[in-house]
Amino acid sequence: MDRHTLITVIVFAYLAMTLAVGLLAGRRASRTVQGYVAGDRNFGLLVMYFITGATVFSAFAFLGGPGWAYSRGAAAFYILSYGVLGMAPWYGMGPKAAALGRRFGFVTQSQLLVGRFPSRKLSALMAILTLVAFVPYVTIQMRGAGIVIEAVTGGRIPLAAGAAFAYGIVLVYVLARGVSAVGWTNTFQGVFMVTIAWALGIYLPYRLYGGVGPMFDHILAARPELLALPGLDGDGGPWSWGAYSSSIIVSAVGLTMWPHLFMKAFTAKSDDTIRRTVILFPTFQLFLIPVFLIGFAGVLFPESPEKSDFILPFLILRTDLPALVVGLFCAGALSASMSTGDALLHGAASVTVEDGVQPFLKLSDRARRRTIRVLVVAVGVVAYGFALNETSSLVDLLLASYGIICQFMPSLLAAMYWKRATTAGVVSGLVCGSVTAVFFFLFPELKPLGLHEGLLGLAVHVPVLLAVSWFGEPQSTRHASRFVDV
Amino acid sequence: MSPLVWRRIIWCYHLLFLAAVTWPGQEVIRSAKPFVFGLPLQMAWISAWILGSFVALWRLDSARTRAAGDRSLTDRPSGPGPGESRLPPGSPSGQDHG
Repeated sequence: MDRHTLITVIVFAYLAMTLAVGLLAGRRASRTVQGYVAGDRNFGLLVMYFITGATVFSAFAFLGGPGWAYSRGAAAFYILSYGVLGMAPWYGMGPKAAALGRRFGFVTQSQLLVGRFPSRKLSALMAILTLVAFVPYVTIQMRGAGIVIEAVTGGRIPLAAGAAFAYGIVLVYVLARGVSAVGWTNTFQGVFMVTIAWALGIYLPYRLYGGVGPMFDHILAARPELLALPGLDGDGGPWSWGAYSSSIIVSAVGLTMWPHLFMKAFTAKSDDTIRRTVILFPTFQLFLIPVFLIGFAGVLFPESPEKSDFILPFLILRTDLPALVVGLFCAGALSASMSTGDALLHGAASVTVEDGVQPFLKLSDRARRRTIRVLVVAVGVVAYGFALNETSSLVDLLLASYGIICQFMPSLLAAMYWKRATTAGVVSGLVCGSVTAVFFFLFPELKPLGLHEGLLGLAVHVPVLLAVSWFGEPQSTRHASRFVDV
Repeated sequence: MSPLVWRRIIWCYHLLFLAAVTWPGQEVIRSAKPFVFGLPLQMAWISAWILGSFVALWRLDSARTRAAGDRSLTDRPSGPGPGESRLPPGSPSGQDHG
């Protein structure tokens, strides 16, 4: 058996195991919307830890992170900075959201928002914004899976077919078992990707340069601009501090606002499970260190990949590692892609039905589950179309999505912590903030100081929310208290 | 220290963390040298803040758990613990959509 065939067999064996774990999980979950979307609110600490970590660290981190370290140097450190900053407030917000979910039966963040600010338009707006932000995110994961499979098979399975195959498997277990499959496959994949990342992140610098320190010594001597903050931009020129800092702030604000992460508050068995997941999250965040080391190891490598996102599989396949190790690594990279992609597909479909359809057409529990399944496939097909045509880097795609998703934070803070907030204030803030973010995304040359469009959106969003709420008719104290005094 | 004090410490810590890894705070630790455990100084700096966050959150949780334990000893057999729902899941009013 030749090397490429052996690696391909290992990768496909891994995919078969993932499918088995996904299908075996959740057999005991109830056949209700709550069972399919919120896992009957029964996830323990182990599953919550890995579902959070593996969902946050996607193909974006596993392939895009090394891609940025390789091509943009210290600019990649922004990815290391924001995760814990974004997760820490969840120690307080998560249990509160979970308590509200148990109290009112919420399974999506939009239901929480609309529960406090009754408006079907707000519900539909949240569903639309979520879908707009989700499609590029799912696209990232599909391209990631396609990149890995194309690389390991030496181009015999092209990106398009590889992405279709990997996500065919994801669709099968998400359709069959819902969030329970997502939870258990994420646990399996999370263990896998962390182990592989640390092993290779330490091995490659030793193999190529004699150690981590010597590797950075070589880079500092040959390409000092790569290790000078704030790193380089996409064209190889210096990145601005405004763009670097605002990328950290926007990503931190938006991190827990991703519906597929926020909704996990509704799946946790207890408040302590959520709190301990937050406490342990920094241990997962440090997994970015070996991932960056792999990217930096490619800087002085004699050959270069066609695109920077390919650096990881490119390097692995050219360093005479045993086929078994290469196969396991590629399975780890697929884990990173699929463990986020499954949660995204499930989240996007659930949010669309629960927030975009259910408020207008009262569907039965069975019809809702069926519609969610149809939408899982529909979102997958749309993202697949984008995955085949996309030209931006994986990290750029995610940063663009954050511009919209971070706009959810002021609205949810207002819903849970500010009694004086009004429906008009929240809707106006959300619309103005999102329009501003989209405007600066479309006209990046107008952005002051290179600031991220999401931060500019928040700069408009927050004053509008405060002013319209303050001058508007307040909600009844009794109603607001049921959300704030929890 | 009480959970309230720890909560304030956590807030201050993470605001300092944010200031330390963005402009102008990060400009102070801009150079790659000296390496720390082989890593560039900026990378080690950010990693140290992440580890500090783990320790701070863990201490807050310990203080909160201790305080909750003390309360349950004095209040027993009162209702659910801090942060828990005041209504059991599935109760009639638990289905109220406000």
